Formats: sequence, structure tokens, C-alpha cells
Amino acid sequence: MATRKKVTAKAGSKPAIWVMPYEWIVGQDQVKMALEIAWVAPQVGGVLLSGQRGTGKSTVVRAFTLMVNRRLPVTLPINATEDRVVGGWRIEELLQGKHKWMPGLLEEANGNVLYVDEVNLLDDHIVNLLLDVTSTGVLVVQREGRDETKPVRFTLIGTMNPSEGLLRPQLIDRFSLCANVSASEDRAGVLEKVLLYDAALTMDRNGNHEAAWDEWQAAIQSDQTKATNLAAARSRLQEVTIPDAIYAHCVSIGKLFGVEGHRADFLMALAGKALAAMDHQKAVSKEHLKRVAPLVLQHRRAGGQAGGWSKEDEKRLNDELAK
Amino acid sequence: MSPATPEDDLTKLLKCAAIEPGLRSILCFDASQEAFELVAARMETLLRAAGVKAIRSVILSRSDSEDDLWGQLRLLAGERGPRLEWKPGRLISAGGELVLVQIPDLTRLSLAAQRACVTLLSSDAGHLERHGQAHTWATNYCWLSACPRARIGELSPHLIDRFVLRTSLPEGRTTRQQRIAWIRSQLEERERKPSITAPEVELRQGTISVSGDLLPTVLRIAGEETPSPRREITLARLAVSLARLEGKPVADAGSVQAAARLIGLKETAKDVEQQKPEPPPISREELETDKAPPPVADSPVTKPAAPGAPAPLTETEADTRSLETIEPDQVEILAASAVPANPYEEDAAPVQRELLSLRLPPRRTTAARSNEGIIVGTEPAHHLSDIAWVSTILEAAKYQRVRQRRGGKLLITRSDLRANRRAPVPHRALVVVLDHTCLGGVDWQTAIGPHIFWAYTQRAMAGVIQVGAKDADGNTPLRARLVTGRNLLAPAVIQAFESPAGAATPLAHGLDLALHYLRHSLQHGRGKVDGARLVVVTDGLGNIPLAASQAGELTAPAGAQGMEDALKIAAEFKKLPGVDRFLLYPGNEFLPDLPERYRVALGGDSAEMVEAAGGAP
Repeated sequence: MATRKKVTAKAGSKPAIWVMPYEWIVGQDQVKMALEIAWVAPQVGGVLLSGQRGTGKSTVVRAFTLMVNRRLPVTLPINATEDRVVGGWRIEELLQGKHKWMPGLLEEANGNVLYVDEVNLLDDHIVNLLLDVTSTGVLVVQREGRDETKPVRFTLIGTMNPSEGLLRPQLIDRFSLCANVSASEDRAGVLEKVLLYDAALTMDRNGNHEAAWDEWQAAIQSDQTKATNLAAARSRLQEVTIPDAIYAHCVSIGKLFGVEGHRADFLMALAGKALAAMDHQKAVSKEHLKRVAPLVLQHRRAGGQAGGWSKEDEKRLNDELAK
Repeated sequence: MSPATPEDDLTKLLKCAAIEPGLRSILCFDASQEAFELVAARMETLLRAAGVKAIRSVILSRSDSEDDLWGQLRLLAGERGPRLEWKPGRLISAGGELVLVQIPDLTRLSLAAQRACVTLLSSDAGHLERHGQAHTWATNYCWLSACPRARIGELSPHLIDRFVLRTSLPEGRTTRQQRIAWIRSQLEERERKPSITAPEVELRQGTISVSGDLLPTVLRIAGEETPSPRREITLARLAVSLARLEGKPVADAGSVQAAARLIGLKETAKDVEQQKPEPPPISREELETDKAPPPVADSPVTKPAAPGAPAPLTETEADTRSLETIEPDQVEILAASAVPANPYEEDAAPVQRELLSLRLPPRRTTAARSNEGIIVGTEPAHHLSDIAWVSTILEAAKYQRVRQRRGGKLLITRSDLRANRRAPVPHRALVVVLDHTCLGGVDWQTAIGPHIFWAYTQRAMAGVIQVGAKDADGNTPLRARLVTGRNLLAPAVIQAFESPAGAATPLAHGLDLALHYLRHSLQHGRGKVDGARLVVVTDGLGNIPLAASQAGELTAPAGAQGMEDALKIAAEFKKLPGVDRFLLYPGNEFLPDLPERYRVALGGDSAEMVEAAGGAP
């Protein structure tokens, strides 16, 4: 088998697997911001999207990666076995007496995105493999007669429904940013886009690409423009400066919310920098910190996985930034 | 328009699912096996009528493992000896075929299958990453499932929410005459195979326009706060699909109301009052800028048009196909289908599922490895107990050509070893016979506390026999009821402790249930319990004879027969080895020697429960 369909998102071409264009994702501003920050600043490392059923968590991830990478993300499904995660011999070749190594998903995702749908349903054994690699940045393969070490870096994106259980503290720490996905307030807008998407698919099934095609093409074109803008922001990232006062705020906000360690302080600064690059700003401002702080902090506090970000938290943050 | 019949409703629903992939996940409440099979057959026919060329049916059950569903290596006989071949799993879709997944009882689905459903249902893409295989495909499934309405609380909302269409298929033959007639017809059916041709249906494949009042109507009927956005999306899709089926050029508010009625969503009086023309949901910016809706001819189901100004039909293909023949008996059974009173029963159903029910079971044993639980999969072995030999040999077989160029014996290395992964097995059991009619005014919770603590620390499985509980689900008061759970934390077990008292006290039947349950736990199956604790909480005043409980009717005054039966059964527990027996009783000034008779019969310890502080608990 060993096949992967090429999923294109190029204007003028028909996709093998249809995914809603990113532009048609209505609302979900915080989710989009988290994904875009992680792409502009890959050092961020990971994004967790946590939300109730039917809120389009997987859709937004697929749409985003299709937009920026022109292909679906390397996906670690909950049915994965160890050999596909860390790599193994190609079975077909082995059966013919040859040996050819097949890279695992962790290696395939190197330099890009590794997406784990239903991350809280992942087998503990696979979680341990994931933790080993994400914490060290090194993939160690010592199995089936192989002994090798490879540097591996990827952006880990996970989606989960918290009603099916929370993540282990070690794994939650691997997700630098966390966004709570809730149903969009623009419900009519969501319905409109879903029906539009359905229409495009119906036309495609009927072999007629005239009617819905224009709308689809326009959305894909818009996605490509967005991807270009994000790439430009990525190249501007190192030019963005962080004023001393912002550094001080990063530390004081981390202290205020009682998060352990210094990683949250660093991530606030880094995410703020990415956001400034996206906004065409040359320096990180308080406004940037205000927007990224919930993404960095909400899952790092005690009980934060289930707690979310309240209005009281927002007020405390504003008070701190006002100092 | 002729008045709708129940059959019309079900068929319409299935037709909508046939023409709209976003609606192809259907849950049938209370469907008999026969009715479910007929619906599945009907669904397949409709899918073919809708232009689906290749359909493969898959039935999921409680025995499906991950390897069954996703794929595995299998040994085949070859000319030069056994050879290995990859066998794709049953849920792998390839070559553009549609997989019609049938789940006759969602509550009895294996954990592996439930996890697969969560992964594939409502997803654009499927991913397989197992045993050296990597495969990504566009999902093309139609999911058809059945579930008893009363047991919906056992399912994870995360799973059940993905079944977007709901219907009800109650048993149609309720009277004696109907059942006799059905047996006759079945017997006659062996002799002849009559068939009738259903009227031709038109499954319109084109797309249509959406009126400006459609989306507001969807949002109004769905309500302000819906637990899942999927519900309003489903309502909108169903409305558009219904309009397409009926050949309408425009889907409008009427289509939404028809769709809501079809799945049992009710409009409140307030909703009906609000049904006044509303401005179309087009923003000012949209009208003023180049984002204004394009001509409808270019946009099939897109921006809402102004109300009262339906756009012309932009149907590209009106594909007319015919249904295949259906048997007259099928018509009768499907006619029994009904619009569910509440399509989203899970919102109000008591939670009866295990906590984190979609997660793989935790490993509890740390000392000696247990090999008694049900096998739920395999994993790399870390020691030599409970080796999964077939998986091990299959794993080793992959490397044989590399390891031994000249043939010979099978070489198995340490890395090939696979062990069975098993569900945890309790080795202790707590069985509580709880006489709800004697609990008033006594502090029974404190008295039973040490036994609960014991069960918790021992991770014991739990069984509660409710005697004289006021039964909400209509069970006869003449019978006791057994409620079991994997442990004390099972919601159903917790609820069993909290039922109010009913009228009768079928103590003999309760003890009889406890006896059978303990015998089964101690003596049957591979994962047997090797120690149990029986706690009987009663005043001993059983007033229903065992025979009356078993027959389900009380034909003569009970007298003392109920107590005599109970004492006789109580004496049987002494014959069960490994069962510690305890009697907890309230004070009884009229029959002070009765608890002692039960204690002697049971042959265990007894304790009198103290009065509850502040009256009845």
C-alpha cells in the first residue's frame, strides 16, 4: 500500500482530498492566530487546540497546513504503530529479502508540522515516543538492528476534546500555545460557508466545475495570498525587536499567573515577536503581549487544562500591562 | 401535498443522506435487527440510485480489533511455502468505493471500533500508519448505526455527536395478532418470493439556491445554545437536500421546517411567533463592495438571495434513477419507523458510561502480569509471559528472507516478541443486596462504608442488587434488579445506591440474583474472581415469594413465603468458597429475632445500623 495522495491547493487544480479553504473558516480568531504564530516562528514548537465536539478543530488544522504547505499535514493517527512513528523496514522489500528503511512520521515531519488528531486518545506508548523526541529534538532509533540518531524538529499540533480526558503534564508542556476552540459566534456565517462548500463538492461530483469553481478558486487564491504574507512575516521575524519593558512584562505576567519555570516568559516574548512580524511592526508592544498571553499561559497554570481563560484573568492581565 | 406517513419520513431521510455526503451518518433508535438490516438494504439501494457505483458493506461488532479494522499481515499458502501478504483492514477505503458501515448496536461496539469511528466520522481524510503501511485517503463512508434509546447514556457524546441524522424504529408488531401474522408470513415466505416495485424516485443531483430566510430559520429552530454546532449544520444540509429531492429551485424556511420535523426537532411557540420576514443576512459591506453575491447562475448554493425573490434553478444534472424492488414485508416494517420524540436523547440521558470511555484501558497490575483479561491487542513484549504467538511469528516472518538466505527454520529474535495486551481484570468482587424499603431513618451509608472502602482499594468489580427500589424504567416491582460495573466508580453503580424506595420487597429474588452473580463471577470465564464480599442490607421482611418474582405476577397472598424463600437462598451462600458475608440490618422491635435468623443462614457477621442523625437520609 504505502501510498499518500498528493493534496494540492493550487488554483486551477482539482484536489484529491477536499478540504475547506482556510478563508472559509469563519471566526476562530484565536485558533488561527495560534497556528499562524507557530508557523511564523517555528521555534514556538507546538499548538494545542482544545474544544468541544463539532467545533471544527481538525478542519482548521488541515485547512491551515494545506494553505501554507500545499499539502495535508503529516498526521499521527491514534491507530499508529511504533514502527510507523519512529521508522521501520519496508515490509514489501523485506519479504523479498531486501532491506530498505522507511522513515517514521517523526522524521517525515522534520522541519514541518506533525498533526495529532484526538491527541488525548493516543496510546501511552506512542506518547512516550513523542515526548522523547520533542523534549530532546533528537530521534533515537535503536530497534530492528538499527542504531542511529537524527536531529528532528517539527511543530506539533494537537487537537482534542477535553471531555474525553486531559493530557499528561509532560505532554501538555510540549504544546507551547493552547487555544480553546469554541463554536463561532457568527453562526449564520458558518452555515453559509458550509453550504457553499457542500455546493462545490456536489458540483465536483457531477463533473461540473463551472458554477462553484469561481468561488472555490477565489478562496484558494486568497489562501495563497495569505500564505505569501505569512512567509514574508517569517522572513521579517529576526528584524523585530523586543523593548526592555516588554521583557519585564513577560516575567511579571508569568509570575502573576503562577506558572512554573521560565519557558512561559520566553514563549510570550517569542510569540509576541511573531505577532509583531505579522502586523508589520518593528517592535513587540503591550498589545501583542495582551493577545498572546492567554495562548501561552492558560494551560500552564495549575488546573489550567480544564480551566481556560476567564474575564477575571483578562482583567488581571490588563492591570499588569497597565503598570 | 399528501399527508406524510412514517414510511415517507424514513425514506426521505435516507434519500437525503444518499444525495448529501455530509448527512451520511445515521443513528436509528430502538431498531430490531430485522428492521436495521432492512434500513441498511434500503440505504444501499438509495446510494446506488444516487449514483454511487461501488459500495462495500462492513458490519462492525464488539469483536473487531485494530488489526481487523485497519489492516494486518497475514500468512498465505504459496507454491514455495507460506508467504506474507498485507491485508487492508475493513475500514480502509480505496479505489473510490463507498464503505457502508453498519453498526447493529452502538453500545456493544468494541473499543477499537469506537476509536476508529471517532477518527473517521466527519473527517475529510483517513490516515493509516500501521505495520509498515502508510496510506492517506479521501473518506467516503456512509455510517448506519442502531442503539437502544434507554442505553444511550453508555456512549461517549464525542462519538454519538458524529451521527448527525436520527430516526426511531420501534418494534412495529406489538400485538399478539401482529406477531402471529408475521410468523405465518415468514413461513409462507419460504415458499414464495413475491416482490413489488417501489414507485420510481428522482434523486436530483443538482444544486439549488438558498433563500434569505433559510439560515435565520435554521438558527431559530436550533436554538440559542446548541451543545454542538453540527446540529445546525445538519439542519441546514437536510433542508437543502429536501428541497433538492422535491425538485424545488430554492431551499427556504419551509424546507427548514420540513427538515426539522423529519428529525423530530420541534419549533417552540416563540419560534413560530418569530416567523416573520427578516432581512437577508447580507452585510452592508458585502453589498457595497466587490464581495457582493455573484449572480446565482455562478453560485449554486451560496449567498442567500433576498426573500421572496427565488433564484432560478441552477441544476446541472437531474439524475433520475429507480429504486430496486422491495418486499412487501419490508414496507410494513419500515412503516413502523417514527420521527424520534427527541433526536438528541444524549443531552438528557443519565451518564452511564465509563469515565474516559474512548481511551485504551490502563494497566493496573504491576507485580505478576495478569493473563486473564480479554485480549484487546498486542504490543512489543518486555518479558516472556503471555506471548502473542501469532503476532510474534508474523513479525518474525517479515525478516526471514533477510535473516536466512538459504531457508531453514523460522528465526525469532527478541525484537519480534509480541505480548497480548489485555483489558484489566478485577480479582475481587463486592456484591451488595440493598433493600431500599428498609433504609428510612437509618445511617446505612456509614455502616456500608468499610465495605465500599475495601472494594475501592481492591479495585473490585461491583454488583448492586436493588431490592424494592422505585423503578423509573417500568420494571416490575415484583423483581429485584442487578446493576453491575467494572468498579464502584461506574455511574450506573453509583446511581443504583441512590434509588428511592418502592412498594414491594422481593428480597428472595434479590438474594437469588446475588447468588447467581457470585457463582458466575467465581466459577465462570477466564478472568475469574478469587475473592468476594457479600453485603446484605435488609430488615429481612421480604414479602414477595421467589416464584412470584420469577413469574412476574403475584397470584395469591404472599404470607411468609417471601421470607422463607429468602432464608433458604441465604443459606446457599455458605457453599460458595471465598465469599465473606455480612448482614447489615436496622433495628426491628416487632421481629427482633429475624436478623439473627438471616445471620445464621448466611453464616457471616452482622451489625445493626444506627439511626440516621436528623431523620431519614
